[in-house]
Amino acid sequence: MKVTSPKSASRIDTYSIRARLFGRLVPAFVVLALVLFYYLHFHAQRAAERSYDNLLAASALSIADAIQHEDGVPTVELPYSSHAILASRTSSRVFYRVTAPDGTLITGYPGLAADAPPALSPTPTFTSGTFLDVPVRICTLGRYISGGGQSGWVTIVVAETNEEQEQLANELLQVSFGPAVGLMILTTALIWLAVRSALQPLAAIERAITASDPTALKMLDIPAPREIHHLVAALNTMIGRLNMLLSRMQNFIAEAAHQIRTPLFNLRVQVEAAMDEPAGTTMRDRLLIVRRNAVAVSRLADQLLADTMVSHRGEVTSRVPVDLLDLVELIADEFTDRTGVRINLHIGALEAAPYILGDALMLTEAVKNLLDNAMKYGKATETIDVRLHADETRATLSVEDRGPGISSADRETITERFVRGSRDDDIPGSGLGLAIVANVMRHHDAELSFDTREGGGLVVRLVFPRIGAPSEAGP
Amino acid sequence: MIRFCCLIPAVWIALSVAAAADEVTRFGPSDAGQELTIWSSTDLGELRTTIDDFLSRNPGVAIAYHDVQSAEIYEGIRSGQLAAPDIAISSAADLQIKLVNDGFALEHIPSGTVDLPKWASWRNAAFGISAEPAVLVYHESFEQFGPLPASRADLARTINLNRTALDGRITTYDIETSGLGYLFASQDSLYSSTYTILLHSLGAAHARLSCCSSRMLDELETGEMLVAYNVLGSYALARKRAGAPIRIVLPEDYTLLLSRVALIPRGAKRPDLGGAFLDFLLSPEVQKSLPSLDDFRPGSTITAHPIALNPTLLVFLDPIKRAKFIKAWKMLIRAAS
Repeated sequence: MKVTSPKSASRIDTYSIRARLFGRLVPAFVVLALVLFYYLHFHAQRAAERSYDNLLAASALSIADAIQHEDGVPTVELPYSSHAILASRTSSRVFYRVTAPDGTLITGYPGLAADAPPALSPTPTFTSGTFLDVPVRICTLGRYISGGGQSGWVTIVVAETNEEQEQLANELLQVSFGPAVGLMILTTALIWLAVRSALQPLAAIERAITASDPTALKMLDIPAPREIHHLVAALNTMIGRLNMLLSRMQNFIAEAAHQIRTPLFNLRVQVEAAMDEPAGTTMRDRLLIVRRNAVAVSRLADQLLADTMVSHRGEVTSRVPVDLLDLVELIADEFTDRTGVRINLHIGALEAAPYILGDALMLTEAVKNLLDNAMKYGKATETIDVRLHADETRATLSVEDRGPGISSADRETITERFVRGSRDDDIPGSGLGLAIVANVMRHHDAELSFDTREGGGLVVRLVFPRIGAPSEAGP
Repeated sequence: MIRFCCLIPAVWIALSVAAAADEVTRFGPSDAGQELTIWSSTDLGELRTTIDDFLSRNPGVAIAYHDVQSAEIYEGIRSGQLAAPDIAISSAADLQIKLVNDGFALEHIPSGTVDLPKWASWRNAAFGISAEPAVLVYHESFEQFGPLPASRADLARTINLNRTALDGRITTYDIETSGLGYLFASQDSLYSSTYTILLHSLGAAHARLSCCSSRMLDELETGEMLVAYNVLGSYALARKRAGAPIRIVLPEDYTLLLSRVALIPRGAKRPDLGGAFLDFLLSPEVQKSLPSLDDFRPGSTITAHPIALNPTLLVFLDPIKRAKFIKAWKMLIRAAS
């Protein structure tokens, strides 16, 4: 038999806890990093703007303070501090414009923020724009003058190129975003280590299993953390079950060998005796014995095979709806053809076909064994009675004979392998037949019971859970 | 609307009308494949050795050296009417800074070891290639009035004490016509309160206002003038070394240091050659050969006030500011007369 390697079988739906964890963690961190980046970028920009805006405002205010009337027109003597304030802190290029209330240029760069409205408030306002094709930060404020020829708001505009502001923003971004990303990478590494140490006990179990004695199934005896205690317990339960199965198997093999040895020994003795005797005397009697033993061995082999088949099918076959009446009729016909023994089939009142969930092959084997038994233990000349009736939930099949029956003391053990009833001594048998039937019943959630027949004999009763008839399209 | 550049005093524009092409000296092989164009307000004599050294290192390069006034350099580069040079060297630090501020210069990252003090460059576009002092120059005969005054206050006191003898024999820049004189005066006004007192004394002694360092030195050399205030140190040193009967004094209250400022104009045809020449000017080798303060006053320390290359120089270029400053300056210097 080809054994599928458990490794390749499990690889199909295998997964790594670590990979799954990181598969979720890393995208989450990437999204988080992006959000953080835009957040910090925005605020770094704001902070840098604010720190340079203060300088610009101070410069503009110093110019505003120097505004005065001269011969009825506003004029300004540009204070040294207006540029010194900026030059002391930055190496930006500096532009300025001072415009009279009537819109005429007093001094400065006429094109600077030329399209901006005149200032009507002493509060500085800040905008970003371009001047002479370079990006600049612009501060605008007003200074009200009255008297003389003109009264109104003088507009003061001071601008500087913003490369240092950008640089500061970038630095701020770096010092804030850098550690955040570092922290994420560190967290990832820590989680990696944590997962590794958390999985350590599993590796210990794996080592314990690998290192265990291959000739014996021993319980795992290793310290396990609470979280995987159940796993170790389950493993140990499974090892216990395996041990039990293994010993049952060994017993079975020993019994089977023992059962086969007796008829084989008899065969050998009879054949040797026949060889020693002069021809023709009792050869026919011996051959009869030989034949009887051969039949016993071949029947035993059949039943061993049947038993194995039933056990195997029970493990691997899924059950389908089976019409029990159909099946029984088929088996009865086949039995009569094979043995010449007639079967009285008594069918109870049935409104619909009695469907049960099962495997036809296994069921056939079980019923055949019962019929064989009935023929073997009952008087061969008599007919065998088979009854089938069903109610809403159950379908009951009974096989009745006029044999010696089974004593109530035997009924507990009669379904075990190689166990025979106390009244069966003069009839050859393997002790496997009812074990097979019991096995089939177990796989069908069905009940197996024995009863003494009125007027002598045995009633074997099989009670199956009944199901509704399958639909046409059904399986 | 009037362009801002045109608000620069009319006299400078008048100067710039005479295009920069007249005073051209050519160096290097006539069949050279590449030509580096220099506009410089510096006396060619001071740069000749440097140019020769540069050419010997760069065979295949010729140099067209244009002797251009600092105001003409400013206007020429600004107007774009003339083909821009590959490098412009000017003692008008303020105008050079304005060119950079208004986007007329290229950025240049110096290659090689450059050890410029922080104040001597701006935005990797304006580079101070020299630092020379604004000095007091005396005719030898001034010693008749005692030890040579070493500070502005001393000078004012000496003038006041000898007003008759010194009447009409003191000279300084006319800040209205000389950009350099204006730059020095504006810086003086920032640093010194004694400057006002000195201006008063100069006015009281009917000081002669002059256009340029060379003219002041000429008049000193002949003895027509006895004191010149704020003369460019290198010119005075050259005269003295040529045997002129003059004494040079670095004012000890503070000495203004002026940089010659080099920049590579945006319109340069060969900014690479301009950059190479600039790197050569900034190299330790060339820097060591320039006159240092030790040449003026060996072994002593002075309070140097370098004129830092930054936008504060733009303040005094504001036309209203300039007009008011000149008006105030004239009022001071004329008040006593």
